Amino acid sequence: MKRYVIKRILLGLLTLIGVTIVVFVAVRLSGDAALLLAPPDATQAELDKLRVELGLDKPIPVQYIIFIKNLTKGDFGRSFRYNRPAMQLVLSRLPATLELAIFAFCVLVTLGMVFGVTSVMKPGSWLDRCGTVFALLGQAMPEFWIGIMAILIFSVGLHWFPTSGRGGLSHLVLPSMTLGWFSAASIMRLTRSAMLEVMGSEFVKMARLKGNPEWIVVWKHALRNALIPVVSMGGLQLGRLLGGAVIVETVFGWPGLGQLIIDAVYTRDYSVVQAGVIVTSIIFITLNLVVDLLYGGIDPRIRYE
Amino acid sequence: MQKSRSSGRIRLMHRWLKTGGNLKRLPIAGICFLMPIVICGIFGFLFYPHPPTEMNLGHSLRPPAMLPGGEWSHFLGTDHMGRDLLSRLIEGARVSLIVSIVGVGLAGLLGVSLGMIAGYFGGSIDNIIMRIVDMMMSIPPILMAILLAASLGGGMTTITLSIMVIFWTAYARVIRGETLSIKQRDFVTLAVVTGCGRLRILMKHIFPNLVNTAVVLATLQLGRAIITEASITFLGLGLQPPASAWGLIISEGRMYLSTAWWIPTFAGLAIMMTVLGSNITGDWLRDVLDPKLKRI
Repeated sequence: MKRYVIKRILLGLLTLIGVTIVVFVAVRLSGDAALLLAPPDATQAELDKLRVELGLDKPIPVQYIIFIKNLTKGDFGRSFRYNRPAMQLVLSRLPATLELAIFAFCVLVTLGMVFGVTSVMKPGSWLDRCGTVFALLGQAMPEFWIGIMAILIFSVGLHWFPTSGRGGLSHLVLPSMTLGWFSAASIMRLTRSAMLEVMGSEFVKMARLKGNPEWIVVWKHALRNALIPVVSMGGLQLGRLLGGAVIVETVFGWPGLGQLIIDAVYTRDYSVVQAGVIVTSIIFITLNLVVDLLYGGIDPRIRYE
Repeated sequence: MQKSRSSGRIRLMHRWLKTGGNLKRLPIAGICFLMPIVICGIFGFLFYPHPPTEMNLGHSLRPPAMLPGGEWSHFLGTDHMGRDLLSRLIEGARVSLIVSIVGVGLAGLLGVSLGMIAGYFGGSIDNIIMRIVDMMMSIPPILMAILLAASLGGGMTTITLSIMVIFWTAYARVIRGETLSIKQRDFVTLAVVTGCGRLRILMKHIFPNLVNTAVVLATLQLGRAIITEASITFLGLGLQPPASAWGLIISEGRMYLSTAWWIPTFAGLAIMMTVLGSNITGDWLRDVLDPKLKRI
């Protein structure tokens, strides 16, 4: 078990380094990185100073080392629009995005799992049909469109919810529904197929033979085993929620990390883009690591691969 | 020695015929959704009601024909510049389909090649390629597209490149697994024994058995690619106005949401129809060609 944990952590670190390489390359793809990272009104002297700081006159590997050294110091560059260090800006917006993603995750993933299980238990019932349509639609509609339609129907039309901004529970409903629908659909499909597989196994038959009521057989015995791939998918979806929040935040004016990154792209505030992408990736990698460790904890067979 | 008839190749037609060529099981719903879009994409320019770029400011923001104030010449209404919505949607089909198909195609090319190499050669090459796959998968797709667009500017090439970069990893993983299992089979061992070069084995023996999986994966990915392309364009990082991409129509229509709800609604319905059709067809194709992928 310990070997598994160490191996996973090392892999995570390696992936993190890889992400920094990707970001590093992406910035330098356009040619002159100093032009990207400096404010648009920088003088030639300031540009040159930035070039020396970034080491742009040195060979690429050295540049990369300077880049990494800065990262470990927490220096991701400076946002010239807000005149604050990029990292500080990113961290200040993070809680909003986390709030949205976690709420969407809890509510909709639960919904997806429930739909998936009932779809297996009562095939052909109206709940099953609802669930199937829910899943089919959820995977076919772009998130931004769901958001716009939701605003159209529920805010402009019915006046049930506010159209944008962050606030109390009523502000949270529409954005998280938009964000989570695709994830809920994926989870529902996976739960359904995992449950179908599990329901045919020996221990389920045994549980029935012991005389357990059906709902205990399903929710206590079958579901626990079916959950293994679902946990893995759940972690993946949470990561996807964090990344996909960009679009939902733009549509709903939610003041989170995603909107910060998009605004930074429009205003050419590249250091913020850099910082935002790296932070999101760190969260994603950590999440995957946690899921892997959980997976190893739940299913002992995984530890020996 | 009798030459093996198919030398390990499983032809698509052969399989389909073996299942009885059962027309009943064709994905009617999927094809119904997808066919109109594809026809619009290829032949759309033949039957625009109006040229999609023709602006007529006197006719701007007209509702669809069925509603009061609408006219039958503008069946789905007009946008804020007086351009006919139906024509713009037809034009958008072409653009979206081209970007998605080319993007997914390139991603497939890259992913299948790297997956085959990783699976066949194993060892450190396999390790390196898989680590790269892990790295690329750790960056959320939209952020990857944003990063590329910020660096290279918007436009059709960048967005196709973004789609290629986002989607190749899925191919690599799946194809690597497939290659690993095909590698064990007898005809590969026989090929090695008869002295076939490695390239020949890869191209003539292993690759034809991967085609099924690759095709299924491509159809399943197409839907996601269309949504991703629409999302990136919606954010302003893909095709630029005055192009007629669905994502652009929705983002432009967003400003007029309370007054001209039909603009984003119908554009979104077009996207939904395309993706639904692609998903249903992809599911059917997967059931026919490669049921092992059912897990996805």
